Amino acid sequence: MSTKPIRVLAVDDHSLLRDGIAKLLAAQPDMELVAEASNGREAIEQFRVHKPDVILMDLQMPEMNGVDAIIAICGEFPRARIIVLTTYSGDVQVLRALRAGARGYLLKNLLRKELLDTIRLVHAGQKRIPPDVASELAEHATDESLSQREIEVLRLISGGNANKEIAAQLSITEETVKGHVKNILSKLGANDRTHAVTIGLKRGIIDL
Amino acid sequence: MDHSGIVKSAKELGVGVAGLVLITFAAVRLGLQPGAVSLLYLIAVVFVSLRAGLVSSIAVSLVAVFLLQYYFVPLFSPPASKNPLAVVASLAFLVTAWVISAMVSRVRKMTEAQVTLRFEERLAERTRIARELHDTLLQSFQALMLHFQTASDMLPPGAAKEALEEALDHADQAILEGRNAIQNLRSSTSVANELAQAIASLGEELAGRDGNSRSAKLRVAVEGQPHALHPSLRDDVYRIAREALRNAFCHAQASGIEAEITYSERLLRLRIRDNGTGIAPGVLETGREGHWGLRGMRERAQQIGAQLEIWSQAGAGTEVDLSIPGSLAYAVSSSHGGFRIFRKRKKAPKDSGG
Repeated sequence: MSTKPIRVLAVDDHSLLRDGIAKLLAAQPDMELVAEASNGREAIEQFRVHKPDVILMDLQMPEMNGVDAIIAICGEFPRARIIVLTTYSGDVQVLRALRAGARGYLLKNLLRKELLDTIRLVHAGQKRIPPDVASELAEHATDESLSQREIEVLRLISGGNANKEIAAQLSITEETVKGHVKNILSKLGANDRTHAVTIGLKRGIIDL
Repeated sequence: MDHSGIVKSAKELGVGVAGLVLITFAAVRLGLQPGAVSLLYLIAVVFVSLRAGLVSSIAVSLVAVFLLQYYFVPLFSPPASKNPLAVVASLAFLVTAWVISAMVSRVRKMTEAQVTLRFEERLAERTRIARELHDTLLQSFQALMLHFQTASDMLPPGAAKEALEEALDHADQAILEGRNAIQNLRSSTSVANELAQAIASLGEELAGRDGNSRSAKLRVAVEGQPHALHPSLRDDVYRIAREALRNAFCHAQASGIEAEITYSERLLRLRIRDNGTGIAPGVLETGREGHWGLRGMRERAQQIGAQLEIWSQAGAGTEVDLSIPGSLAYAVSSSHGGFRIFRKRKKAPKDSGG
């Protein structure tokens, strides 16, 4: 193991969580928390200043979310090593983060047991995705993904809107909405609208 | 107008005219005053125009005017058709009928809008609660786990550390359950109309909870034509089903669980039975209900005017039987009210947008 500690940047909008990470890392001789950020924009700034070896990145944050920050940072520094920390394991959300350039994916309920190992592995150049997340990814690998419009419609459905209201909000006809809903149901393999929303939440197509 | 539309109009027309003839017959037999008869006609016409389509309402109104003129207003000595007073009276009659029906239907629409609004408010509130729980409680707990872990790492190996680690593992589980509950709170706010689907996915979730293979199998059966549940009690029915399933999956050590939903006009019935250990009679009867959540189920059932029966015997499994009168259980289609003869039960909309 190299003598230089792994320099870490923690990005999460909850200070209590950043605190917890700080305490956990402080006890590790081979790690050092060099900076913290509470949203995507701050993360980019802190990254430019400190050039950390590893970034721990939350996804749902105010101002600028995690995926956008990952895209920005990896655009500027393609070798950045980013580990996503999140509560949910939906395959679409995982895919979005990985496409953006994340190297690791860690569910927050596994933090206390796996955070340190994940940091070390990703720092060593490996990719790290938990087995259950990977199997979820594999399960939907060949699914046809929803279009931007369909995701919008699904989000409105999840807000309890009827087709008529969705049509009004998106300024399209009710018939078009019906067509979108039909496509959504078939692409997600859902039996009805509720089922589609449940799947959408579970797979991270729409947020809580 | 398609075939079924014509049949429907003919039916409405038939019933309306029959009603008028009946009134006429009764009026002649009882020797009612023309004023009283016109009032009865008025009521009949208002009813028809509220329930039936435009064509049949107009037709029935005209029949009423005709009957009124020729049977009860021969007071006007010249023939009614040439008597301006009779024409004015008929017109007044028609206008009054239409104004009253317009007013009633307006009031009804407003009440419906209010119910919808209340439901939407509940929905928004739930979404807000789910989001709030997710943003505050869940995130804080996840963070606190890290703090505890750090503390545990500082402890020397021994009984205290073991106890703490064990507690942390349990806490992990609890947080995971909390996370799923929040996710469910959110998804149950959407247009959850397919009860069978909801129960099946609940079963999947409960079966997969501890990821073991010895978990019970859930079979869902539906009898009758599925109806959309009324929004005001949909979530409560769902919660009761959830609690019953949770008992069957988590406490009963059952190998088989059946959920049976029976839709009939009169009654919505949901039965969930398992072949597990059963609930001890003491627990079933007395207040000591603990983690079975029986009290909560009973309270919910009472709130929505449903009947809840729980049968159980040690070693012989448990059956939970929830029945709700059809008049309460089902969402009523919006264009027609409760006037039975004209009401056509709409099929449960699978994809019509709530």
